[in-house]
Amino acid sequence: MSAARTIFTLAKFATGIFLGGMALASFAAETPVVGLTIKDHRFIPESIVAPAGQKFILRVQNADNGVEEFESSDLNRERIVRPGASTDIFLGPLSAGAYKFFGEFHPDSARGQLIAK
Amino acid sequence: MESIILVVWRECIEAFLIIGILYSFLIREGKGRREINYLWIGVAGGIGLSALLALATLLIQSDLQETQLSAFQTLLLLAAAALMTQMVVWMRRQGPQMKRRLDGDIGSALASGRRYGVLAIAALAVAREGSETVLYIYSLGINADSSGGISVPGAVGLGIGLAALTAWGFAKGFRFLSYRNFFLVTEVVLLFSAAGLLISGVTNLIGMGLVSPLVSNLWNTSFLLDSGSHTGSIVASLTGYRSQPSLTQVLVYLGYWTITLIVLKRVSRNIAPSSRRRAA
Repeated sequence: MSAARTIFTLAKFATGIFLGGMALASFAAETPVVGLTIKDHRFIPESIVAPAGQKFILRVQNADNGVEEFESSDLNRERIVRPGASTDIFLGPLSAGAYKFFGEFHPDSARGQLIAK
Repeated sequence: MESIILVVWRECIEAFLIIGILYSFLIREGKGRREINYLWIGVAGGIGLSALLALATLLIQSDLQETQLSAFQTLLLLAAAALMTQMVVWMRRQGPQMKRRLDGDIGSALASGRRYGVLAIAALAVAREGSETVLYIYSLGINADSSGGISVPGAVGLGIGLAALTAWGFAKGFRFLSYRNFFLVTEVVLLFSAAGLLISGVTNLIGMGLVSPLVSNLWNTSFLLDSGSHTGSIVASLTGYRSQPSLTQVLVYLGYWTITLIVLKRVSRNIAPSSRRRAA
């Protein structure tokens, strides 16, 4: 446990370096949010719509009791999503079109696509 | 069950390949048990670090902590990329004839520095995908649906075993290469892996909203190789390939190779007159 705490302490330093020059909070406040849920190793909804041509946040909520990894080569992202938690993934600006994504830990069932328009 | 084997194999293969090439490298150099022990210590440390990172992921309480942990993991990726590149520069500086004994204080200091380099690279290579593998196995444990065939631990073990076997096959194959070609292969594998680590780090930063993609999906080569497919994802982690890269990723990738190749060329030029190279 204390080792995990050490990781958090180290992580704090790392964040400090990264956040130093960036006004993240003010920027994030105006960005539209698109929601996506993982339940029973499936995405709900399996097809989501997002605005094309602008930045947005994909908020992935994991309603399962296991860890999932959101992954998409079309969107060029991968992110661990903890059980019972949500994570914000910054995306865009995307050109109009369909972008496939899947859950890396359950690639057979967890599949979906994002439609940018 | 095949999907478990495949996911575990895919998560482990890159680390095993790196370990395999470091192992072959130390053997080629004629290093003894002590040197190789540093490699194993690094591997053990990497497994420990993976478990800690996985534990930290599960213990996260807030968005801030999640950002901090992502930032820390990104820092590890970038550190690993830097260490691997530095290792190649070091190898180049020594010249292809590394078997000659390093004597005296400077020599042993150099050698011990590299020992820790090998240790750190092995640890970071394992930790890179290791924490995900631990989280994956942990999730499997929770949702233990023993739906026919072999058990979950059996499938996990098989996945790890097959990854080890694949890497071992490659390492064996390396032994048939000439000394010079072996160095070339080692350099190429390490540099491409480092580029892959760098691109993963940059991708993380873009996904966290800390770095702008400049232009998303600059082009699309999914029809050739989709970096989300099984083969594609392995190629992606070993080379930094992305089927739909952003402009930022392309610039970082080109920048990395330009700077690295210039540095390596300069190192080689400085070594040439010392005749060690010509002798080879």
